[in-house]
Formats: sequence, C-alpha cells, structure tokens
Amino acid sequence: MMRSHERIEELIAIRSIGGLDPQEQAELEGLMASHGPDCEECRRLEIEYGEVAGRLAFALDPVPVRPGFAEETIGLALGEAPASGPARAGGRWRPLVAVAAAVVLFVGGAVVGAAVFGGGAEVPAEATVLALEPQDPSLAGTVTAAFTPGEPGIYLQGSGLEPLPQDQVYELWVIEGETPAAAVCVRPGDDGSVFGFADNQVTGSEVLAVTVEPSSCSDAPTTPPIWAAQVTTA
Amino acid sequence: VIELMYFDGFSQSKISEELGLPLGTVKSRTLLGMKRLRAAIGGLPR
Repeated sequence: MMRSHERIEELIAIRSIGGLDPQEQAELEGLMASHGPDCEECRRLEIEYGEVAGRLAFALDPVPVRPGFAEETIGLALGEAPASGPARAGGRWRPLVAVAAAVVLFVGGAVVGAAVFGGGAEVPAEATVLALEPQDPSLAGTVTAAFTPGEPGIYLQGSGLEPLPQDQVYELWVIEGETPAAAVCVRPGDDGSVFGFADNQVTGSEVLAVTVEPSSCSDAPTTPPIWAAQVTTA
Repeated sequence: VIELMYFDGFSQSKISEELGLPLGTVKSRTLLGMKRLRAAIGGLPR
C-alpha cells in the first residue's frame, strides 16, 4: 500500500529551518517511526530539505562584525589562544568559528577557498551541497556541507543544533577509507546555528562526519559520528 | 516567514503575532516557500 508523505513533507520542510514546535516534532517522530528506518521517500525529503536549508544559509549577504572579531579570528588561524571558543594549534588547520550566521572571514590557508568560492558566503551553483544525515533520529538540527569536488574548501553550516558544554565542540571530519582528516571545529551559537570553513579538499569518495570533541579539537575522532554522509559526485 | 523562522529563529506563533497572520497561514506560506526553493534547487547541478 502506498503511504502518504504529505504531512511528513510539511513537517520536515519546517523542521529543516528550525520552525517545528515540540508537538509537531513529536508528531514527525511518530510518523517517521511508523514509516520505518527504510523509508526511502522520508530519507529523500530529509536530504532535499536539508540542502534547501543549507543553501539558504550560504546565500546570506555579509553583515558587519563586532569590533575586534577579525583580529580574534586571525589569532585563531595562527594558533594563538582564543579568549573563548575552539582553536587548533599548528599551521595545517585554520579553523574559523562562527559568531554571526552571516559572516565568513577567510584567513591564511583558507584564502585558497576564498578564491575558489569567490570570497563570499554564497556557494556557487556548481558546488555540491550535502546534507549530513543524523545517526540518531532524535538528534535535533540539520548539518550541511558545501564544496566543489577536487578543489580546496568546505563550508559547514548547521542550524537548530543542541547546545554543547563549554568544553566541547562539534568537529567535522573528511574520512577517506579508514583515515579521518580533521577539518573544522565549531560551537553552536545561542540560536543553535554554526558556520565554519575548512581548507580540506573533497575529491568524491570520502565520508563527511561530525563528532563531538573536546574544545581543544581532536586529531582523530574520539566519539562516534552523530552526523555523516557519503560523498558522491556521480 | 522563512526569513523570520530561519534567520531570526522565530517560532511559528511568534511569526503569526509579528505579521498579524493566522498561524495556519504562516504554516502554509512556510511550506509553499520551502517547496518552491526545493524545486528551484532541484534544477541545479549536484
């Protein structure tokens, strides 16, 4: 028997931009449970509306940042101790943390990405936007990554994410085979949004995954992925 | 409604209040907008 996905689509569409109220969230969970974990249409709707939300975030116009933000971000990129928020020591990783949903700054190695992507928050139409799938259906929020295969630069965007304790961050990994490469650490803002940029290159056969890590960021995942997606460029 | 919901983090009820629209209209406009965006993005290269 063909099951209707009309109500599920309504709820997934609104959830992808963080608009569900608790009753609707419970309703969606019930409907999804009734369709089962193998519901391909449910999965397709989640992925496609996740991509819509991701592109919305990346389509923002830049806005002014608070005084001192640029200096602090450059300090992070150079491995200097931040006043707050995550940082990774060393030159290879240049994490950018989000402090305003509409802001993207490009520093150090990330300049490569700026050139590739045009230096703004707008992801070009030819970029691949991938919605990472929650590994636990009860997980709140959506996570999306955008990149151009074969070129350096991955934009990470999330919305409606659970807050984390001060000593933890979300960390993005690019996993090729059995080898995870750290990409960027982010901490959700008060509204549950994150935005980050990494200079990793995605070629087309990797898995992108997000784990919860200590605020110092990890060189290898220390917890299981909570969002993940297989990159396919076919 | 999408802007208020996604970028400003307003609940559907708050948007209803702010815009003076019935809650059902907020829901239907959100869905319509998201469907249109999904259709538009569906035409982009993956």
